[in-house]
Amino acid sequence: MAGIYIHVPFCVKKCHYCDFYSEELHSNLRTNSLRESPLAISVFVENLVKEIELTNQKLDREIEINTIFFGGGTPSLLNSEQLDTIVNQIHKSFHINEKAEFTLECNPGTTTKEKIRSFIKLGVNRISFGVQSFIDKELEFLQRIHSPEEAERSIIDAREAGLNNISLDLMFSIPGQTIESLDFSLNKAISLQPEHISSYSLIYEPGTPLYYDMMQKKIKIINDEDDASFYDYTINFLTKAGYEQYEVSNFAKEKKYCQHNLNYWNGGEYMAFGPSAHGFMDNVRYWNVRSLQIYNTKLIMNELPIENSEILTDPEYFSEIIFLGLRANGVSVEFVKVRFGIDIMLTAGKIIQDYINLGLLIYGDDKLSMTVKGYPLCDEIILNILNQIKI
Amino acid sequence: MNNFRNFSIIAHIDHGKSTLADRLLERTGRVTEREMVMNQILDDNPLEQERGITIKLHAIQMNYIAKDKSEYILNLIDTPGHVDFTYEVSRSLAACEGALLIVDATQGVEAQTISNLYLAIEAGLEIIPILNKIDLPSAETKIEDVKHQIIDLIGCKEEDILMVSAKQGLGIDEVLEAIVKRIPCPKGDPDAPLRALIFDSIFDSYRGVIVNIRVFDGTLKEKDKILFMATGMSYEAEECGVLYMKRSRTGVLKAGDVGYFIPNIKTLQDTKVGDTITLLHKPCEKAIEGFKIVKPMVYSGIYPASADDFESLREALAKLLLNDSSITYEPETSSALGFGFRCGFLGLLHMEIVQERLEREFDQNIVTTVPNVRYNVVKTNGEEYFIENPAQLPPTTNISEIQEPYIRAQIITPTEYIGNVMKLCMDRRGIMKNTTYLSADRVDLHFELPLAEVIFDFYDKLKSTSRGYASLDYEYLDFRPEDLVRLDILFNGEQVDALSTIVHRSKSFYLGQKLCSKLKELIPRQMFEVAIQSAIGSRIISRTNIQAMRKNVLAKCYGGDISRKRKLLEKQKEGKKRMKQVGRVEIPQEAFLAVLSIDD
Repeated sequence: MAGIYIHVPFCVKKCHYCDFYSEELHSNLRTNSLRESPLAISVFVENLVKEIELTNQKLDREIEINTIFFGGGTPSLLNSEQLDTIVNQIHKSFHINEKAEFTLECNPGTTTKEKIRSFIKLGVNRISFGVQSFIDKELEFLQRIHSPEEAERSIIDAREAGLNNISLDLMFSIPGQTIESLDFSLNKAISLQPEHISSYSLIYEPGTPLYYDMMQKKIKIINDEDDASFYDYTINFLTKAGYEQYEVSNFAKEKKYCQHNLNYWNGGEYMAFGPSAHGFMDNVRYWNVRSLQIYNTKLIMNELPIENSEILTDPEYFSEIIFLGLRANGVSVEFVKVRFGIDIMLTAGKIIQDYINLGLLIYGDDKLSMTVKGYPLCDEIILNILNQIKI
Repeated sequence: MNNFRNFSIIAHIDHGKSTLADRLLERTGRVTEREMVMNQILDDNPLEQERGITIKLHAIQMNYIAKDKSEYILNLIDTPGHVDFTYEVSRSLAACEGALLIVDATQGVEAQTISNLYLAIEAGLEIIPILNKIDLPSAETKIEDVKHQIIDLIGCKEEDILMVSAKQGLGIDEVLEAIVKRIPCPKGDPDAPLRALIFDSIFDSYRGVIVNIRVFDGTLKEKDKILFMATGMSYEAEECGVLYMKRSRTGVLKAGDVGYFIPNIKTLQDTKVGDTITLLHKPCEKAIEGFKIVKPMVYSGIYPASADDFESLREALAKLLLNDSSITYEPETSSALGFGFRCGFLGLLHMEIVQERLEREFDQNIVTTVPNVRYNVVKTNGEEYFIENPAQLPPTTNISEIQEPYIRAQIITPTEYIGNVMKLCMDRRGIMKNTTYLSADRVDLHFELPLAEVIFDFYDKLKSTSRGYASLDYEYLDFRPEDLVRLDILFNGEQVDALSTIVHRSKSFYLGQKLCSKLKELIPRQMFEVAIQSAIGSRIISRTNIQAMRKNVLAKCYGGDISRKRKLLEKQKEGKKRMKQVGRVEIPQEAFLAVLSIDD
């Protein structure tokens, strides 16, 4: 059982807050039909196929794939022929479970109903739209290329194309945002009835132009108090609207969690393809080079484009299992006991009981997990628990 | 013996003592120019170099062929340049016949120079006044004025003052000639019973204790049985010799000599600076005067940041004591900080140095508490004793009187800052005793001050209020009864003993408020609200709240973020380890020193 992550490193325009690796496409893709994609994408697809093939050759075992996730960048910049080529290679190399979740990230404004239909034909059964906000000014601040109307249109298109697992990304603590504008975006979002919503606090990632602007004090950032209020508001709003919070920033209706992400958070294995992608197989975390040029060169020379890797020691893996689990839908106490020989309910029992009494943690059915009240204090809680356990 | 000259140098920090010493060593061929690149040979401890001061004493012998063609042996005995080490200075001076008084031509005479100068005059030393840094353009206008300050101070003639630029190497020969001509040679009888003064001792991890001495009478040879007159202990001299850049074994030291001997002692505790040594089987009649056992003036709690490191801290302190015999330490327990030590220091600088050495040389992660002085408590039942920790104060109802130590402070400042300096001293409960004008624009102020008020950032405040021009020297006076109370701090109703301080009642209300708001600043938000209160006895005098933490979570954690997030967590875990858990409240180490960072 494993997941597959494919990183498509292209964007029409880079957003100044984003620290994912991607290259800007310089041709005017927005007005041209997307059937004519530039040479760069074709070269990438060719090498990606090679990377999948090479990886498969090096594997010494059959691996069943349960989730496929195309992230980026902007995967929806691929045309259906290109996606077809990639999917074909995946099927050739691995055994894909027939119920596998197959997600593609889309930027509103880069899709049409026809294109979504063609994606569905190739097996895509979940689309995640990077909406961020339904307020013009906020989208402008984030330098997104789409308008609120285009976002709405894309989601309706996806629905009409027959998709029954749609996710939206939203963002809060955007400079200039107010509780009212956040409320507006949340209302708009739930009116479109997506199965899944991710809502992130805007992060000022070092190395991004936005981070630089913040350091230069060119923008008025949302203060910690308001950020906390926005987060509380989001959690309350979505929970009331029937979305279950199953991770710090993720909410789902009817248990339609993102299986691919849950696999990350439950310590599962995943393969990675494309520049800058991270994989985790056989206790080894590895990552590809963060440069399209080096990526292409390596693969032309029939080398895997892995930049580096680390073997997780037991304490490291333990700490990941705990913090990822607690950030998401809980840690299996039994799994930890069997894998590491530690009963966290005993070794950190006092502090865990403290948090349970405070209504921050909940324990039941072998799972120790955050409550809605606990998520905002997640990092503090995790740190205090980990500090109680020596491994 | 006629060709021996033993001298020391008196100077204020930065007036050029080390540079002049370097020049003398260079001119007498004691160091080569290549060694000189290392610069400032006397201050060879990195801490000393950073702070520009001498902490440990040094001595060095030079050979000089004078203009009269005869060869002289010059022993330079260096002195530490800080107010905490007055006793050590007096012992170094007692080992000499003369002293070079260095004054920076651009700065003038400073407080500490004066007090050390008086020590030298009292010891009957010949003083050679030197005006240094005469090459600086800013010296031009001040030279005459500074000359007059010196003449007023020691009553010399103007032509006795040597004009030097140690940096440029100007006037160095004149200094060497003056040492030979003006400083008397040592007197003493090599055939009399041995009588020698210990002016320093150092600890060498291979040889044990190495004792630096000045021989006044008699002769010391290897294999002699040596008696330490103050401690009553006796040891055999395994090796003896003179001090060049390194030790140079001669096997014998005679009256007039400055040198070292190695007695096979494992701890510095057994060799006290100022003690007299003599021969066990042929002792001298009288010890050299002036021996004192130095008592700590300032106390502070030193605790391991992590309780597991208590033993390792104990070992580090024991090792530190091997080469700094002036520290004292006793185990103590604090309900807030656990097991630790109450340590005594000669003064604030000494305390800082010890703390820094523990962290740097011994790799200890320590939490220190606010320094305090010792108090003499008189109880209602007549019982009387000293306390070295505010937590030891008995309940108020049992106290009839608390006495605190006073000092006599001498402050020299340009006249334009008199107002500022007086205000500072008055704020610190000072009593003005005397004012002397050293020149038209420099004044020497005498105050009596409670030592407790001086150990709280007084020196920094004095410097900032006088733009760095005022200088301070002090000596211990006596214990005086004062209206003192203990100010306690409570977190969520629970008293934190390590934060208690003893303060004057008139300041307690103000300090209580300030301390609460400072703590609020220093303590990060916790997962629950924390009430901080200050109290005297059972009376709460101020209160403030730290709001509960609302959000602490990173929004995003996908495949590419996991390793980074894990490493961040590891770092944060280390950060948490530096916090002290008091009840359920996590307190950063700086908070235990909060009272020091309160602005008046």
